[in-house]
Amino acid sequence: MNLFRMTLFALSLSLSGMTARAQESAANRPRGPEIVNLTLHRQAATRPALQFKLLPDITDQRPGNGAGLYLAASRVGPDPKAADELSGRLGDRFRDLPMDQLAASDLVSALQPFAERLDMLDLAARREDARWESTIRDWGAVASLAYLTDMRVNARILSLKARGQIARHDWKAAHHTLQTAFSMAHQMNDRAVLIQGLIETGIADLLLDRIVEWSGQGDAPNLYWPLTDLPAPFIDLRAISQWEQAMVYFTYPPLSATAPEQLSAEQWKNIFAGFDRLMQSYGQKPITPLQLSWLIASTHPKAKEALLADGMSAAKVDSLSIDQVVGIYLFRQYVAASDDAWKDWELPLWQGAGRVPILNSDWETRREREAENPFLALIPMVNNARYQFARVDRKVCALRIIESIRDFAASHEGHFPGSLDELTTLPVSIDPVTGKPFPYRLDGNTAVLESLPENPKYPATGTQYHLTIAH
Amino acid sequence: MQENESFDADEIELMQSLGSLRPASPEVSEQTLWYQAGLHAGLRRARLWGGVAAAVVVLAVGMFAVRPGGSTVYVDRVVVQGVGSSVKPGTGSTSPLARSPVASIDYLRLRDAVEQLGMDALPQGEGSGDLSQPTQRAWAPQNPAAAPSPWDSLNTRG
Repeated sequence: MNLFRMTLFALSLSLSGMTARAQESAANRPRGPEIVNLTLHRQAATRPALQFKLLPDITDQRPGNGAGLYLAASRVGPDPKAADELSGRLGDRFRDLPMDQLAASDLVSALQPFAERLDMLDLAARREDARWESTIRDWGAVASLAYLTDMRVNARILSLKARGQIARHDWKAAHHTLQTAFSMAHQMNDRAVLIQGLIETGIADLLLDRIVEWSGQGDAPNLYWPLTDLPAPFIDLRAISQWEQAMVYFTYPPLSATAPEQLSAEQWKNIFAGFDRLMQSYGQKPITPLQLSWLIASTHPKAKEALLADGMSAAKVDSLSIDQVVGIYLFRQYVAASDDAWKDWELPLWQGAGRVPILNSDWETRREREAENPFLALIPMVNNARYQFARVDRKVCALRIIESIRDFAASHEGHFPGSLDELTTLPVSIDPVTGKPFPYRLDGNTAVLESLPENPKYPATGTQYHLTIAH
Repeated sequence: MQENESFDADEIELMQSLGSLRPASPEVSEQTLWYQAGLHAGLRRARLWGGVAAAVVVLAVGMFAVRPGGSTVYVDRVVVQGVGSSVKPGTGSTSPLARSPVASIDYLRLRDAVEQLGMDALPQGEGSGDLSQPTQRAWAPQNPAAAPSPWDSLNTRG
């Protein structure tokens, strides 16, 4: 009987192995492009050019900290759980509703439970700044950022509100709502750690979908210059890299106060003890004292060799305890890996992080390395994150081209340009992901604008805009 | 007798002790015999199944160990999606994070989940699910018409 069970177990192992391989193969396979079908209405760029600015002017702002108002906004109307659920349900119901049906729908009354919250968001987004307070500086990697869930709710309801206004061709109101939402997203640049930047990206991406819908409506004002007026890059890359690189020092304060070579054996023991909490915060099983001892003991020989190879004298190495030798080695390894990850962060994607394709297996590889050096858990998948940020900038650039095409059609009897080179009135941007012009071609009465990855292994879908012009 | 005379007393005692030893009775019951026969027959079959199981284990371990290499075949697939959809592609799903819901909002775990899955990876809002939270206000009457007026006292003075 036991043997029968053993055989069954082995068979299930075999099947799960095959499934895992199939999943990995499918996950590494590039998905096809997202296709957006869009009927454009010819419309020249607006004059004055910036009457539909997507971020508030300083004259529209009032002194103060918007962050507190955002938090207060989440304390009126539905409580956090109800707000999350209700906004999700409203999204499912109204997000994909055709615009003509949406215009006649009960979206306005459905958003009524959030009326006061929306009013407060309006105020918060027009404060001069938003200073987000979190416990990251105090608690490092085990800090919580609970307000991000509230910001997701805010993004959902603002996006829906704007969609309804666009459907009703209420351009003034839609512009005001979009400006509120873009400002809210942009205010998340303050003290932005990586996750905050990623949520900001998600919100901006959601709002740019509303801009696509705006461009597809008859008599919609041309947003070429307002889109051009947005900061590029939209995300504050420097803030993110600074906060993420400082995370190790926030998590292990002794490392910021003293050079690792000067830390006592006792201090290293305390740091190692913190690995347990670090891995828990990372969603891993806690490290048992036995595992920790094994890690330190098994690392010691190569750590000793590495320190000697780095130029530390044999006498000095011999004077250090095992914990000190291993601690210095692991931390030096972390610093080198961190610098490698972040060194080309500020370069345009196509010059820096984008040169190396990202595979799903990278996540597994990193986990294996973390088992040997838990400090490495503090380094995010930098290339992947950098791509996420560039993707939003690319979407803005693609929408600028679409608005430029609308402007061209307005002065060319509703015709498409034969190539993007013909768009001489309004500057055409290159694709910030590839560093090259966006591929563009005419296919009968349809123009196809592409923002596709060059590397077929790149884990991105890219987008194909299939454009027609309403006559 | 002559032989006995050539031994000393201790040796004779040893001989007598050894001579008194009797082989133990086999006392093998019919039930035990059947059991032993069955056990041996079973073991022969077990070796066969054990071999099969070991081969499958080796196969399974081998499939885990050998990751797909450069022979991956990429297949293009076109996804047609409406303009309004907010479903955004993640950039990976093989991490355990992608398979399990995020139960905590600890930074590292949340960071990786959001990097892979986007905003949807954020944990659900917490609360009792009330559609209207009690809100403390500086002053907010439910019915402004019923709010006290500084003129009320004048009116009641008569």
